[in-house]
Amino acid sequence: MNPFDEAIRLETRRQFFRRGALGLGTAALAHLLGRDLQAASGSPEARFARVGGLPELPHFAPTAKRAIYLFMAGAPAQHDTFDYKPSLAERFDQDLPESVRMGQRLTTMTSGQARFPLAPTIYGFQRYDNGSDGAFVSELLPCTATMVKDLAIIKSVHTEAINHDPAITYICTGRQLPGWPSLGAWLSYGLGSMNENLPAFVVLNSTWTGRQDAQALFNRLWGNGVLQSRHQGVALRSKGDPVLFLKDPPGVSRTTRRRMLDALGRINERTYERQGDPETLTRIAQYEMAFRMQSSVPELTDLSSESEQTFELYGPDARKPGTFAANCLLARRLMERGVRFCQIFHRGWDQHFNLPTDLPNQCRDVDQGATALIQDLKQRGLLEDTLVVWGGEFGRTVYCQGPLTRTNYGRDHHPKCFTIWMAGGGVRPGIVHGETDDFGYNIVRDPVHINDLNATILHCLGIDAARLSVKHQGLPVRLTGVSKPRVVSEVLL
Amino acid sequence: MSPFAPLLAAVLCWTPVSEPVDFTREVLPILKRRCFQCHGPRRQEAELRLDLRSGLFGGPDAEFAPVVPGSSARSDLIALITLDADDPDRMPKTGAPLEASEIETLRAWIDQGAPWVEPPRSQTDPVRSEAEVARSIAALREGSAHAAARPVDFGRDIRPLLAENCFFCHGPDPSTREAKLRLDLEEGLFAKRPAGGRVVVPGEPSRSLLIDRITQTDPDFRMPPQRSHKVVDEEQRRLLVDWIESGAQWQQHWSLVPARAVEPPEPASDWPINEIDRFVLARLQQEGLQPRAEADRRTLARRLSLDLIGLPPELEDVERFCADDQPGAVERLVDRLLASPRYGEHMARFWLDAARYGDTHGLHLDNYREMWPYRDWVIEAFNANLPFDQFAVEQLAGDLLPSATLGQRIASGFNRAHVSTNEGGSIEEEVYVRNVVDRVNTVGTVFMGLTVGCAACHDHKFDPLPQREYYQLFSFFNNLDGSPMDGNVKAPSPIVQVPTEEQSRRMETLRGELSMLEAEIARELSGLTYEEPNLPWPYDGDPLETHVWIDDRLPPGAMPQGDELLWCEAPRDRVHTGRFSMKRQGKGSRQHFFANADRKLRIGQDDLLFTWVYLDPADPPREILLQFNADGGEDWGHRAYFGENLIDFGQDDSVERRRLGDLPAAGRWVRLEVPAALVGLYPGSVVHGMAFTQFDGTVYYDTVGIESRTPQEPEDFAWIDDDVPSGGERQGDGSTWNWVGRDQVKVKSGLRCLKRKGGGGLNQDYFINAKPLELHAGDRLFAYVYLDPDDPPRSVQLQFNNGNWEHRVRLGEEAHGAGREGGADYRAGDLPPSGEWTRIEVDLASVGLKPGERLNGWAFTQVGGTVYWDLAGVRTWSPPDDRPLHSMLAWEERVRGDAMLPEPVRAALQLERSKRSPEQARLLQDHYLRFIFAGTRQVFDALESRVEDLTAKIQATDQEIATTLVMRERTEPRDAFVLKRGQYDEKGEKVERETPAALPPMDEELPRNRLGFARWLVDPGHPLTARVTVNRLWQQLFGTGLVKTAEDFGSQGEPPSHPELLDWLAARFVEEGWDVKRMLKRMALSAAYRQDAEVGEDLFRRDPENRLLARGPRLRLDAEVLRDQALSVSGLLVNELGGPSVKPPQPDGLWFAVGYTSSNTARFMADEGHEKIHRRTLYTFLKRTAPPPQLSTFDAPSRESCQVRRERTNTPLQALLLMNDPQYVEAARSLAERVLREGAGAPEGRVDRMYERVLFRRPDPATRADLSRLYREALEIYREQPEEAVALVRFGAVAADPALDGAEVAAWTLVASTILNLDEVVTKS
Repeated sequence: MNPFDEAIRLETRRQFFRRGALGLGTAALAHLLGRDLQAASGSPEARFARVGGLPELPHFAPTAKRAIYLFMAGAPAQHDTFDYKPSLAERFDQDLPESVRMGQRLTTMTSGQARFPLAPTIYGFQRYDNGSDGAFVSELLPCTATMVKDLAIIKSVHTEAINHDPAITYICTGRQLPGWPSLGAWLSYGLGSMNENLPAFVVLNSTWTGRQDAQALFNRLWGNGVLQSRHQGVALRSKGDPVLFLKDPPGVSRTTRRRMLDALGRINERTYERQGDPETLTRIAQYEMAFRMQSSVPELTDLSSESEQTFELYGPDARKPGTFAANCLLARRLMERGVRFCQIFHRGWDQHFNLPTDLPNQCRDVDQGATALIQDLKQRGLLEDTLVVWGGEFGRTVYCQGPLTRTNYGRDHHPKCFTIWMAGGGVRPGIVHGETDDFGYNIVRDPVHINDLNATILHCLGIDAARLSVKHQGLPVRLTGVSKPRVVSEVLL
Repeated sequence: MSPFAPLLAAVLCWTPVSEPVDFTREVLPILKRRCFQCHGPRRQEAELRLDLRSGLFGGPDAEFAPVVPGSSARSDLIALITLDADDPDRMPKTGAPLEASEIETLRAWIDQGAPWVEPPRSQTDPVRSEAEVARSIAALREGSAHAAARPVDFGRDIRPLLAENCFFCHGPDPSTREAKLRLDLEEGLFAKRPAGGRVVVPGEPSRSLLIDRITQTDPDFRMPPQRSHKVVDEEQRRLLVDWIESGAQWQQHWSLVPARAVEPPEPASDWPINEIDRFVLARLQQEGLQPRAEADRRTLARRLSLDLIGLPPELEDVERFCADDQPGAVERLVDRLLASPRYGEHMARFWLDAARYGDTHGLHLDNYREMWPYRDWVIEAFNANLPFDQFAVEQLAGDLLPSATLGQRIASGFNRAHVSTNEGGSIEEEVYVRNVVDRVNTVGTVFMGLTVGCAACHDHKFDPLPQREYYQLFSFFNNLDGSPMDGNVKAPSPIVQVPTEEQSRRMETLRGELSMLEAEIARELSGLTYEEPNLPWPYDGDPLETHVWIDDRLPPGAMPQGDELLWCEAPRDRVHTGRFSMKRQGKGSRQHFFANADRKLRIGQDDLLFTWVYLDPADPPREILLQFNADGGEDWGHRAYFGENLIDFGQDDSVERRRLGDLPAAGRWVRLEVPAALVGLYPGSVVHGMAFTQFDGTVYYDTVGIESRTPQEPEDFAWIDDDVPSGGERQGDGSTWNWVGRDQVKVKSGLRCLKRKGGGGLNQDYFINAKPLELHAGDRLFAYVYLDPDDPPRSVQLQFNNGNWEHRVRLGEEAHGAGREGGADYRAGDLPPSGEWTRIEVDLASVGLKPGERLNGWAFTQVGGTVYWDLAGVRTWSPPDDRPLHSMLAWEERVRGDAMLPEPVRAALQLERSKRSPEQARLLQDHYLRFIFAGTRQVFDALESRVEDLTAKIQATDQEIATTLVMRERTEPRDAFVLKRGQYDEKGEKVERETPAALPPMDEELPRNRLGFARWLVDPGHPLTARVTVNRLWQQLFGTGLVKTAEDFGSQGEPPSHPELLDWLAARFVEEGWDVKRMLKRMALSAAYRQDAEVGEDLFRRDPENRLLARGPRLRLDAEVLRDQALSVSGLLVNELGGPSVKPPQPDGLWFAVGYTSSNTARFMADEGHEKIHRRTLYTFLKRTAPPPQLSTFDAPSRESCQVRRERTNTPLQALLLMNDPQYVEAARSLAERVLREGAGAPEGRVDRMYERVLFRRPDPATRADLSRLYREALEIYREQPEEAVALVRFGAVAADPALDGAEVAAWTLVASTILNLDEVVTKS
């Protein structure tokens, strides 16, 4: 913050304290945190009044005020889900032509394979009406298939990284190495929060039923990198305190805590009078916010007020904390409360072997929850300004890793194409964008680099990716790297 | 790009434009904005001027016509602006392509005949007269309220301004350089321009093109251009004018010029204590500010203690300090603190952020990495006040120092502390480059304060570091003698062992005992003699038995190969026995053969192989060759022939081609006999296949077999029965290797069997490192299993280790290691019936094993249930032969060439008996008697078990000894190349080791390696190292460095707030021998540091970040200090120096939620016990992908990369942690108990004592009242609800003091927690 603005606000704060207004409690303190006055009025708009963020943002009118990213960690196989390649069926166990692979680098897990036999999917595909040319979806995602009218499916996303750690770090932070701000941290930094009782960026990690020896996640995927640590994602936990150290210790009741905070506030106020350090005031405000979070977060995570219909929509998993479905429902509640960005991670998509054993479970985990989330947001009028993205960190190979039989196969990592979908907030519904070749190996039309994807997400939220940067070691750091990314306007309204 | 493309584009995009286009109003602005910069009066790129009619319509030669009136399709201008975006010829070369509407306008204009009107000069030529520029300058001056406060300084005022706004296009990087102009160099800044004029004319701003360009009123001509989004504001323009007017003094970038100790100014005041203050005060006076008075003693004592040792002082020490009214009291306190071992711990933690030290690898699996001896080395180095130059050299190149000490080698771990990976699928070269880049960038940041990393992909855009020079630096660090992959092990090579004194002592004792034992064994041996038993062979005397191998068909499993095999049938054809014989007929060499028969022949002593043949008298062969395949592989080198020597296999007169006589008579069945030993088939050999070869003729073969005393069936060889095999180390989950005897269960074999009651998930007993069991072709692995009918498992599994564990056979549904990359996971069927012993048997191929491999480990695995295991091993045609146990000759025969034997024994065995020296004979005999001979087992087994025991202890101690990662050079330096765009696989030019040209050269005397580089860094003439280092020390005490961007001293970093002071300190630092303690002491004793920290409204307005130092530092404490403070004031802190990292409690599931399931840090298990969980935070185990929340919540870095400066945030999550983290609650309770134990009294008195314990002064009356009231309110609640009090008091890992009243403790805990959360307590002031 500009120190002079800070000084002017300090002026206000001082007068405020001199009036001895501490007892006014939360509303006044919210004001201290920089909320607009109108925000306290209780109108629906005011509910989402902004706290923090950069004054120059948004760069232009956003189509989405908030976003949910359903992240399929481990990389779902596009051939078995969305990228239908009927001609492969006749090429079972034939070698992948060198003219298709073109010497592309492979992971060392399969680069030593004597041959690259093609593994057509064993799952049935159907074309579903999406209001335009139709969209193919595999039988593994029956619920998703019912909502293709709401989705923009992009089959031509690509990246350079071929291993999980670098690739997931890349798509989440724009770089393959640790140390850089994640998408959510950028949103928190740029757009601030819309609810001072909850963090701007919330992360939900889900349980999974496919391959149990799953790829790791890293705190850096929702880390702040070179931004201040207050922008890092707060991982809400499904066991124990949803937010770390949220609960008062046993034997400390709400009343006791309130009294403790009153005493603390009074003493800190005198410290401020004596020392004049504005950080002291911020600290008072943060303790008050912590106190409010102690009620607002349990209220958020308590699903008991949800209706039977809602649980039916999300399916039986939604009653089990920590499942993907339960997290989807939680994500909707977060959106209702003005949380800027929620990222749900679901692990176990790394099907090198035994894909037919694990992939159906993985798909079942996410299919109903993701579909319910879109429908639920729509019913509540939230979908039009909430962006939802579904996808992983790269694709999987058309050729088989390990032994190939008519009923069993595995797929290695494939960076050159994969499928994601987007919906809501400004996304053109009912389209399929991008095309891959007959092998689902190379992109033949409309490539979308992961930087373009991230730029498009930022664009929906009113941000020009090229202009959202901070200076670090003398150079501007951006989510989308050095060269200017392309907003995929074809998938936007 | 196709030459037709523009044309095509033109056709496709053409739309009729009816409205006439106006040149001046519509076309000229486009040309002006996008073309004239390079093709105008200033510059004529490609000798082209588009502002002139001649240029626009003609161009430099007839071939090229920018505009052809009437035909946009033939106009090169249109062609060039519509090229593909990545075409290097596309115009304009800078900025975005022309808008589609702009292109349309130009096209329409051309197609309408391109009417042209002479443009006014102001539209084409931005050159203004001197007078015009002077007018702009005057206007600038008018806007200025007051004259410049101080003279313009190029380094402070001008270079940063140019760097920020100009260097991107006019700086070091040629790829983005415009107009061949460099403003980062003196030559460039004062250069004469090709189109006339100079960039800067000293003393004459109105004649300086720089001023002309930045004061242009037309935004299209003004610099910096709009597309750069940079603005030189009025104030900055004035600065530039002033600078030129005052003579335009130029200096090299400040940080690249060696620091000079200028004489400190002498401001008139008695405030200064040392030289620091004279610099600070001079600046304050310039700014019209007054410094604050010294903080009171109590505040000062706390500040000094927190800053120098990272812990609050002891109350008693503060009292003593306050009572010390002799001069030098502060100095005495500082000296005491600097002498404390806690000082080194505190200093180390700053350094460890920079060195990116962590306890895990940081990538992918993020397994444990053992490196804490490096951390301890850093602590000790600070405590010993190792001069910083040495400190740097040892860390950068300790391994290369002549006769490097262990400590120096440990120090070299600095360059190994980067994150590393072993992710499956990684490409080694890529990882190698990434590791080296991390080393270079870290050295750049930590020692040079330069953002060298920018130059990994391209020339640095702002600082003088070309990409080539980056890779010259790279080549100093690219020569690690070890794999770039970390192998997921805690100690990826190269490493060193770091024994504690106790471990060294124990090792010495154990080795002493071992040598005494060896002496005893030697004594025993010296008294023994050995005589080769003149006994018959165990089988001698038994008759040889005939076993037929082939009759009527090949042995089971054998596939005929070679020429077609013809079976002919009796009676039509000649058959010796049975119904069929094999017939072969042909010219030249003919053969048929088979290998890998399931049924094999086992060779014993004196065995005879036989084959019946019938030679056709009408067509006799010239040669018959019988070949045998041993051991199933390619080993066909066992041949016997009869007749002529025509078939060319193997070497004559050897086992490979032995002549056994003439061909037998034709026309009748004859038995050909081959004594096995003559063709190299010795006892223990196994024959898997056979080849029948002949030269010419017709031959019938029938009835093939062996005469032998050896049973011709495979045998079970029990490897595991009643115990694990020799050498095997028993391991497993939970209670392991639980043998039960016949009393409990029906045992399958021997005296006992293995029992395991499994928990819910996968669990196992296993051993590793056993004496290897060699596998042979046809072997099958087996084990007996018995499932408890009352508690059956979900599945059982055997797992074999041949160097890795990826060999599994499983029965039942539950997958164990399913799908592990590259591993065999063979499901052999459903669970066997329970309540009976069942044999599990599997062939080698199914579990991914091969003949010739050796097993050293075996696992019995199950999911759930109760399972018994017994008798496991290998069913083999080649069981180990026991004759060597009784005969030394047999033993020699067997083990000759065994690579596992000690070298001297092996050498002696190579010699024939008669050629051995007496010593060698003795050596062999001793070895035989000691380890092998059955007759002396009784004597030596007992001794050997003691040897084994001692060896195991030595090994265990050896395992226990900590290791740490170090540097070691390969002998042949690895080549380094410029990597294009930083891509590991795009090698450019080869480069040699060189330091950057912008810095002083490396002394010729220095070696061209890391050591030379390190010495170059700490050369007294190096401009950066000392500055960067003292700046970090300053930052540590004052909160912000004199250079705020402690990580960047380049032109994009912030210039120093007090440049002369920084230089003076840096120069002193070097002069005084890089003495860190002395430098810190100087800073800590300064009046600037000792000032009161009161901020004050006006001062805050004036200097919010306290860069001018008109007040003392007031900052939130760092994560580590916060926790250490809480532990210290509550009396919980355990002050033990060094050792392995500890795991104080943290909320459940933080690691598991993100971790790779099979990582060895997937599950967090808190340590137990006061002495571990209350260590200083510096010792907390740092898992880099999920660092402890106590650290990360308070801005501590994850140590994934180098960080030399922390942010300080202020968030509600911090409040929650300080209020509710069990460790903080526990600290509050302990503080409460401490105060309660200190005596009775009124609550107010206790409040005072508690407050004093934390802040070392009495609270003011209002605070005392607030806290006392809180106590009374809380006490009332806890008296009413005693169970609440109990709950609070019991919270935490350490038991409460039972002697104290629960409600009291609870109420005081709340007060203590309040105090620990006070702004003043979480802040140093």
